[in-house]
Amino acid sequence: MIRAYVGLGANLGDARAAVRAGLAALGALPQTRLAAASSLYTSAPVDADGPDFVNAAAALDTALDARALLAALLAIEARHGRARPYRNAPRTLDLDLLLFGDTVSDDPLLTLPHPRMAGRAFVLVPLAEIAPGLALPGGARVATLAAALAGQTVIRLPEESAP
Amino acid sequence: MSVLPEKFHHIVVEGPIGAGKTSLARRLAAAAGAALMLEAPEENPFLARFYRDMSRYALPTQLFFLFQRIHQLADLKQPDLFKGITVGDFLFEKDPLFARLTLGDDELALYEQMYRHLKPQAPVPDLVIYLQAEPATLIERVRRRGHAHEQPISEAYLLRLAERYTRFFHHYDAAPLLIVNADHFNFVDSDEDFGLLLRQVRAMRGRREYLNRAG
Repeated sequence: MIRAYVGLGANLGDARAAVRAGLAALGALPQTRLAAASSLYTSAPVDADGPDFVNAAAALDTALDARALLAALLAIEARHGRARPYRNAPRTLDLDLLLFGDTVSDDPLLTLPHPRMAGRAFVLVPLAEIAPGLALPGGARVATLAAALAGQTVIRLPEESAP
Repeated sequence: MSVLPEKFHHIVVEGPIGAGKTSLARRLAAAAGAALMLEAPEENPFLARFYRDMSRYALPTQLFFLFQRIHQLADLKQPDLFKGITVGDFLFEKDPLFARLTLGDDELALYEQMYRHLKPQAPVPDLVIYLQAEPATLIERVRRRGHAHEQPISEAYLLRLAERYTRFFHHYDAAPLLIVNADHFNFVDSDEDFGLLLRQVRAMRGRREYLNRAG
């Protein structure tokens, strides 16, 4: 089994429900166990129009290979909303494969670690909640990277807040 | 003279399910001392679920095949002087033929987006051998060989697939194409038939040629 980390985001419709549904779908993948799920967080979108994002992170233990997991993530996205009409368009549910074990890959289809995770608090803050000691393949610790982005506002949503 | 001309580094045998492409690819590779590059459906972790619940598992199944094919084909781009000829049983461009049969509109849009993204990475073969066969032939072969993963395939699906292949190769012009009427040949068991095919491949000069035998 490989430990993989997935970032979840939504900013259309009922974004919290979409992220929760995404977490449930991750737990239902073949040959895969949902090992941990972060709280839900909210943030303003970095470079997309539309309302605030809701984000979370999940840890998976999986026997799927990276390509199979990517195929599954894209399929979950598609089941939760329409295909993106243009780059960075608002979307119902967005899943990013952040890390797949300690795999480093520059495959254009599947770049690992995820190329845009290091500078984004809405990815790193939820990830640091479930894996504070986790180090990226380059050696940087997730908690350290998240702390360095304190200027980007990411707010943890209270557990009891009903959607 | 070698069994296959050296100008054909990458030969692809194509055709719908049951046309006999994998058997022919194996025999060609064995005869020419070539490397084999075969589809590997048994590696697809979604395929078993797909046959139980097609609408739910079609997209991950299709995307896995798409990623798997481009990954396999990427090996052909590694320059290797000693590698010689590679015979395969799939064309990257065949993948959407299946996707269009199994995916819903929204899913297909996402699939097509990934396909367009990957397409430029797919090498163009030096020769494509297209095995064309009557649907009745395909159905009989699929039933007879009894691959477990193929048994749930309906006749209607095979019919539509064969029709999509016909249409696809009607327009295909990326590589030299040899169209073979596979109904009247047995390349696996008949040395004479296999010899005819080899001769036709060696003599291939144009962009599109036909191998047929009056039924």
